[in-house]
Amino acid sequence: MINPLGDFIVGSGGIFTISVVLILFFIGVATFIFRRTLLHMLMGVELMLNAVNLSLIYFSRLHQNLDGQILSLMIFVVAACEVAVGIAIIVKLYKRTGTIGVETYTEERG
Amino acid sequence: MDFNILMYFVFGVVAIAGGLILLFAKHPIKGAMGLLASMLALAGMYAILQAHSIAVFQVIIYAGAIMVLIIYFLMLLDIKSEDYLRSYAKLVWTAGPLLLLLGIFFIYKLYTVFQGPGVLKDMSTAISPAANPENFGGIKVFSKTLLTKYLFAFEFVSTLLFAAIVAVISIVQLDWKGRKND
Repeated sequence: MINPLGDFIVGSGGIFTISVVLILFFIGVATFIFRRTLLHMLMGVELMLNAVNLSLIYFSRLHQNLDGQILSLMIFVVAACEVAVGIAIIVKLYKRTGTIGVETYTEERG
Repeated sequence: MDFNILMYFVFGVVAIAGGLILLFAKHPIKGAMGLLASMLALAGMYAILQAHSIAVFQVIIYAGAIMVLIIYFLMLLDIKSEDYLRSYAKLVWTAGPLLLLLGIFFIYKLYTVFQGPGVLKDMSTAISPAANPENFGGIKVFSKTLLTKYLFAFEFVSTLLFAAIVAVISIVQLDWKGRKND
């Protein structure tokens, strides 16, 4: 039985998928480090979580095992919690200081 | 070339392009749109990898709920232009090339591992692509596994969700001196 997609996923699709995962993860890290806005940092974390999800689902398909998919569903829930709490904190900070640029938050500087 | 494989490459490239838009676009709304495109492309990749239910959840939860929340607050906050006029930190010229080198090193190591003797062959003998049940990742198998084997994790994560709701309400209700807002 010829199954080109299965052959691709087991064979040369692996390096493509893991390359996409690594590139997306490093773009997320760079967004978190270099962009100086709180919402940008939050979106960088979201991109990192998405990259990890892709690798989980790829290996779940590779090993024909559903554990990776369940774990990625748990990551969805954690990401939703993180965004809800993070945005509440950002709104409070904005109401207090009038900006969401992180370099202006110097009150905690020792 | 198989259509699914072609679309897999296209979705991967679109995901990376969306991430780059998030990193380089000056205006936050454009960055959020790039992230949204990246998430939708990843949903397509999940669907090709037979994780159909996860693909649907990705569209509904990530693209539908989380990104809409972020875009809503981007529009609500009405960010002044000086927040993103100087949009990159000072350390971009020192840490940026280091990060790039680290990423290239990781991909190179991965390439050598995948090209190493027998890795791909071991994988393909351990997992035969023909043994590919049609309903793998479908909603029936998925929910059966979620509600039997992973029932504790499911309930635990619902507790986490509840704790997050309580945390958000208490953050929004109290003012900076710990008194209740009205």
